[in-house]
Amino acid sequence: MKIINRLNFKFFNDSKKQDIFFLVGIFLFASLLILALLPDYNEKEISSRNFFVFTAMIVPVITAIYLITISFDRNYELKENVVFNSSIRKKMTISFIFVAILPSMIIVFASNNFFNRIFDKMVIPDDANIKLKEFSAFDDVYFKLKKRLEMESSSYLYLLKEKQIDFSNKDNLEIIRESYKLKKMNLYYFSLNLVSDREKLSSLDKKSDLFLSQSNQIFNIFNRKHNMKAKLFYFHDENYVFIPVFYKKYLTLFSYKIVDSEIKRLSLLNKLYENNENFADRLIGFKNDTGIYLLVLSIFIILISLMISLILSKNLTLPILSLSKASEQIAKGNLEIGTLHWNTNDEIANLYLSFNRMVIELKESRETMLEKQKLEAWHDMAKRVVHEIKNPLTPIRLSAERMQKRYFENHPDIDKIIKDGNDTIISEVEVLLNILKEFTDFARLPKIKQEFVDINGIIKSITNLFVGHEFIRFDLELEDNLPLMYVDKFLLKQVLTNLVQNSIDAMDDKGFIFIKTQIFEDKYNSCLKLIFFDNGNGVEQDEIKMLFEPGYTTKKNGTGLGLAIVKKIIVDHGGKIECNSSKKKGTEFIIDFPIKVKNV
Amino acid sequence: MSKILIIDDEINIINTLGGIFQDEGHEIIPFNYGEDAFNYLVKEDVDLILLDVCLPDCNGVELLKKIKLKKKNIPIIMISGNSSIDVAVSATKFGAFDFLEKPPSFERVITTVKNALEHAKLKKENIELKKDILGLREAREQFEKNFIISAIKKNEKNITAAASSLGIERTNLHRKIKQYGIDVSKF
Repeated sequence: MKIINRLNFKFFNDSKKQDIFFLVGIFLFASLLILALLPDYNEKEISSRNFFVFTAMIVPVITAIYLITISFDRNYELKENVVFNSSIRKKMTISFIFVAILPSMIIVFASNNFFNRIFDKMVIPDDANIKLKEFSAFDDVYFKLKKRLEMESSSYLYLLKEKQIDFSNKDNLEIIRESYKLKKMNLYYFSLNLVSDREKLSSLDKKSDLFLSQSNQIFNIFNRKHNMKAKLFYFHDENYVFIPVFYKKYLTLFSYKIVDSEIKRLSLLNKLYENNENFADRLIGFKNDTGIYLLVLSIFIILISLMISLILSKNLTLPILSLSKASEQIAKGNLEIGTLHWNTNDEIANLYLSFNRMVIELKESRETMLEKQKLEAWHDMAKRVVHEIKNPLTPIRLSAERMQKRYFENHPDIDKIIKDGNDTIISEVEVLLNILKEFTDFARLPKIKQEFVDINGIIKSITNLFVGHEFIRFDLELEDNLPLMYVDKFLLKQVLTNLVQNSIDAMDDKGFIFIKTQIFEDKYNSCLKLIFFDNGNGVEQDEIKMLFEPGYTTKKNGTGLGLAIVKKIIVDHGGKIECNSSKKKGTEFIIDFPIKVKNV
Repeated sequence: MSKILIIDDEINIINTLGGIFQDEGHEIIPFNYGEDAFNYLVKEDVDLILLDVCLPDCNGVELLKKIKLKKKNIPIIMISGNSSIDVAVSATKFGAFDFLEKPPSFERVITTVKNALEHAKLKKENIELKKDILGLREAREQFEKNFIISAIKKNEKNITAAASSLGIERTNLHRKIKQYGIDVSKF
């Protein structure tokens, strides 16, 4: 099973191979059908109607079911990749089928009509048929004759059954023959003997013997099935009506010679009519054959067009579907979709080329934007360092120059001046070193090393660190089905630690921190929202903007870097951070992380 | 010997600047917060103010405006680490004497403070001189008025005779009488 699955998997993955397979299938199917539909190429026995219908119906149906199943399987494969259902493809398939069926239906109906009319012309016109029927079917003379003869034969059979006739007595037979001669009938007597499963005929008297030798071929026609049935024969340039009467192992043949010329003519017409009717029957059968042939042909056309339209619409819509899928991804902010490829050199290739170029440009501009944001952070930092350095430099410079000046002036308090100056310089150098340390901390923020991690787990691990804290309570509302996020674990921990530390610093004595994670998704965007709220002292509305600037601090001995670092980390992750705060009520940070799907 | 008020949040800056001026023999009044300094200034007078633009409790330029409204004549020198032109322009627009950019050199501090004190001193002298001049003019006018009255009295209200005795034209005498508001008929 496993091997089969693997094979199937491989097979269905290789769409090119599958296309070839599909075409070969159609080719085989078509050739089979052609063989079946052209009877000339077959033996007479095989091309019987039953076989024809069977082949014509079963083969296309089975093949079509097989091919359509494959198509749907491929459809399913495609659907898995394409998020939304493709209505464009459905429309295309339906219109293709319509376009294929409409003309073929017209052809089928037109040719059916045409054939029927041709066949109708081949049959003798209706009024002629009716005349023939009038002459034959309602012909009193002939039918009366037939009836009379049949009556005679049945009365004769009655005699036989009453044992009035003794076949062994030749005189008796002669008397009966003579009596029927008066009715213009001639009787011939034969006996039937079983010889090796076949009845052999032998005459019972001389006249019969003579008849048998003269007209041996007549007896080929008669058997027990034709008992008591009158039959017209043209025989020795005369018309006869024969009636065979079988009784036990004896056959008596009634013979009546038709002399009347009109009867002769009518019987001819009757024969012609019978022939004609036979031909008409054959033609009707042929008409039916044509109808079935055309029906099967139309079914075949419908199925073939269905298949071809499935393939065509797939091939035509595939680039559009993959394009729309790609653009959806881009709208969601995932630019790592790779480039789209199209082998042929047509409009779609152009479209793909432009699309790829657009994606690349978008990516580049996004990178430049990120770069710019990072640069801005650096710029802010540099500005802050410059500003911060100037403060300690002032007393250093002034003290040094003062000492020098006073020394050369021989100032009376020179000892105190030098002592104070040195103290100042030493303490200010310390300040300078601190600034440098902060700056290197900021600059040394490690390059982000992203991996797929469980953010909820990280939040829990951070809050656990503060469990021992007696004044802080944590309320967590974490989304259960959170996908793994592509972030740097350690930097995210730093973000959370900084935020928690800030919150604790902003609380007078007791307070709580509320952390919520939530998936935010709309048509264009999907991201993880991390909401961080504390009920600390909060800040004024106009201070919010400055919170993230390096060096801005409301604490007595804060470095002003905590939130700057938080912002830098989040920006490096391609995310966003916003802050809402009101004095005395609390502060809320909303962090957006873009969601990256693991398999992209 | 001048009183110099220094407002800066950095204790070392105050100490160093204060030390420098104490070397020169000035009196230093240090403040870390703008509010405190302003309250002090309402009551007391100083010769010079050194004011940092960035203060923990208020904006230096705002404080400058407030002080200028109260004490127009005290020269104020702004100190700032931010060397942007905007701050300098707004500071001078609101009446700052000069603008020291951190870190200033010893010479620049000494010169600027000296200039400011000199300026203030000159301004003060100027005002006093102006007062003197005004007093002299009044005395002269009083003298001229009395002189004209006595001349008119001497010539028994004869304006023409008085004018000739004073050695001026008659029309000029008439104008002077009008100018000083002398009522001739009273004599």
